[in-house]
Amino acid sequence: MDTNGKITLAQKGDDNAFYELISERNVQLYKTAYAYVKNKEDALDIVSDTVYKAYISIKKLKDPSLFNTWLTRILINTSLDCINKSSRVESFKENINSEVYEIPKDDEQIIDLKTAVDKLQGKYKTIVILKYFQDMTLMDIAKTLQCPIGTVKTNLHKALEELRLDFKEELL
Amino acid sequence: MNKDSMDELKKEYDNIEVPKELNLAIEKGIKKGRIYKRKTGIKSFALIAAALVLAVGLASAGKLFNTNNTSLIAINSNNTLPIVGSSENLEKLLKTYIVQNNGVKYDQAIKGVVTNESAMQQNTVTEKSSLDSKSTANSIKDYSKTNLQVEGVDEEDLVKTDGEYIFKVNAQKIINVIKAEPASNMEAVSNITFEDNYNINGIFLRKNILVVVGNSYQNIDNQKGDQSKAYNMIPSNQVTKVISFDVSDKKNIKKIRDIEMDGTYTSSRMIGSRVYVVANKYLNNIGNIKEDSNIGKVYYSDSAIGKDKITIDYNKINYLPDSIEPNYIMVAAYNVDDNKEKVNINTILGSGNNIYSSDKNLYVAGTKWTQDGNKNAITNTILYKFAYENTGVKFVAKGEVNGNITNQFSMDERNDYFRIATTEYNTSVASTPQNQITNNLYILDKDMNSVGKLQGLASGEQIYSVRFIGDRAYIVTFMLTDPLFVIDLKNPTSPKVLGELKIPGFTNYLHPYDDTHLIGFGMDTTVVNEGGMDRARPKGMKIAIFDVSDVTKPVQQFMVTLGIGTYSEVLNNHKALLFSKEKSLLALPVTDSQQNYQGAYIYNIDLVSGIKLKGKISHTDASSNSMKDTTMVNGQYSVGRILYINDTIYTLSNGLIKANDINTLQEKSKLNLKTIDFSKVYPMEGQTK
Repeated sequence: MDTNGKITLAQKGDDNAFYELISERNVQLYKTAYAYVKNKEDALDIVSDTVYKAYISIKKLKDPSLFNTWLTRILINTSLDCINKSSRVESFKENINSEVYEIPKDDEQIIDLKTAVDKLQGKYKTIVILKYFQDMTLMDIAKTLQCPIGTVKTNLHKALEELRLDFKEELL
Repeated sequence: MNKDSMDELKKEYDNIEVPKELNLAIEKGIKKGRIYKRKTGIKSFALIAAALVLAVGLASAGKLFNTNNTSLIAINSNNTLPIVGSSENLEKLLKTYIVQNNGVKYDQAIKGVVTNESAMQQNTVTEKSSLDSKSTANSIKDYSKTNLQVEGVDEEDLVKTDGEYIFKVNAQKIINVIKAEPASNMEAVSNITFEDNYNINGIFLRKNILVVVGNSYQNIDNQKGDQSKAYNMIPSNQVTKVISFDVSDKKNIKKIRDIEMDGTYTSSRMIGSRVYVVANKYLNNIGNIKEDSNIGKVYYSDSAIGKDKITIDYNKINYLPDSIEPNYIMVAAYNVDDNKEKVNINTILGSGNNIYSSDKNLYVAGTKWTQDGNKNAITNTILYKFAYENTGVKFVAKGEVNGNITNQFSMDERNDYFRIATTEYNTSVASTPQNQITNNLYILDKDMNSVGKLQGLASGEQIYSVRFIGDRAYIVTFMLTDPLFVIDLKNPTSPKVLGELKIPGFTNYLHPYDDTHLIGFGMDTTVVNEGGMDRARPKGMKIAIFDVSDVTKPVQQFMVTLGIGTYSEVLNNHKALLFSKEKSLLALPVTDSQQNYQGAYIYNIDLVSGIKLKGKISHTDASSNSMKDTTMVNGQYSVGRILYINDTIYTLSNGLIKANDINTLQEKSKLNLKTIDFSKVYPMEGQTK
């Protein structure tokens, strides 16, 4: 059965269809969650919570073709909630400071980039994950995040600036 | 940097190992969703009876519990644990884990899904304390301390004071040292800064020693020239780092010790002069352990020994034969007063993210995912008990109970008995919603064997908060209403429900007021009907005083609501609360999203007039931004901690400290703090939703 058919069934309450829909995407869900929280227990909790939220609200999904972006959006929000909750950092958890990075030496590049991605503020981290880890197009990212493509470009630009990455062509 | 680095990073992302529990996690989500749907459909009438006091005496207590005595799963005590011994043996041990992993099939998932609800939230875990930081006897300073779970067992926090100076963790990067007295003339004495790759989780203060705990990103040299390590970076790059400072001269603070250990910082405690730090180190890429014998190695370093990283000998790493996890729990212990005594590190194959500590023992709680005979997913709580010994900790026993805990307050120890309250999701799909979620209370002896239990408490609801006080347990469960249960634990082998109170809303944190009263912090809710299903919708915060002097009839004696859209960090972190019974003082940071207000709410609390708002102290007026600016509510002028010294209340945000009179709340003075202004680095706009 095709995805749209499964979605229709799932919306009617067919749990097996729902389970299949999720299972087809389980690895992606887990890896994305992991990219945010960097530990197994929290990533599993995020997946579980995402599935729960999707399960109780799939009826509200009007256009089946948006299932993927819809599910990804739930996952992203759940991941960001988790980061905010667990970093008991005073009131702002989105912690980034351009001052903290020094210009990296060549052999330290990957590690520094990794550190830098880890430190990115939630919305910028999301864009990096979607664009570079999941290879999504800017248009898909805009759909997933439900925001204008211009905003995606702006945020991507800022994320790259923050990471001191120089590949402007990405923004074209 | 260039695009190649990003490609490398993408490779790491692609190589993230997917654990066997993933399918269980999915099943758990579906199961929980089903329960939610059914539950909300069925319980539609239940809530209307809100605000009703329902007393359940001993006679009827039996009804609350199903008699089905599912027994605890395998509880062992084992004083002489086997050691891992070598990389080869570790490989063998982990192989059993991998085999289990691949061998389990979940094709029938939906038929027998079990959702063991892990209500396990990691909110309140960081703990350390500086009870002993009390000044010497000749001082008559009166000042507040971190709100602790166990008297005498200090928990780390973002602010500590010695009654004259205040130390504040700012944006995880800086520690502000403020001379707070005299309050009319506060002074920013100095700021301690750290390496860029260090994030502070909290501090302890003991006399003239300031202890900082946090995470640091792994040093580069550790990975040098090791190709396979490059792929390890995403999961396990964090190192727990503890740094001691001599703060006897506040203008010239000296670093005197640092200790590093592999793994992500989990939590810590200070008892007397000893600090105990717990970290978890996930063993990534265990499938490749044969090719890369470094995978199972863990390191630590201690400036008391030298600069070098020391590999922990496999002969010093223990495991529990019946529960192998590709993860190490590491507990570091050291004496902050003695910089010659070496750090003591205890490593065990296992994992756990919540800790409870009495003055004698440390308990680390983890989640274990398994399946029952019908392939229903089950989550249990595994408990690792360590005893505090001369210079460190010693593993005592392992315990295992059904269900999951809520937070550190779900656990307690008294007279050598360990008590724990859990929420459990039942496995059989055929069962009705009411018995798909249940709650349990277990009492374990010193060897972690179960000696008493209550099971099936408040079926259909889940635990929101727990507080053990002496011989009693107070447990709040919630689905649409909030029952507060009073449970008698005097006889460890037969705990009994004494009484129950049902009120609307729920309570996230219970704090003892005196022997017969509790303060509850939670959310007021209203029941709305959505498409034929009743749901509880949070309205805003509430604070209540419960009178439990008649244990069979707990009563909500006073209650205040803070308004729609209000929220406080106290709801998931007890350390944000300031309470002093002697001073009739209750204060907490509150965010009011409706009014775009953030600040400290200061209450007068007593048993005559209840909880009365004395006033509010906000820092947002210090900003030139408009009130509408969300960075104001969430940003650097958001009050996070409140404390008092003598007759002054101090409120602290990242940008500011304010001193106000404790009685009139009149401002005495304020002082800007060095911080990192994130709102300037990142102006808010184009927020993702």
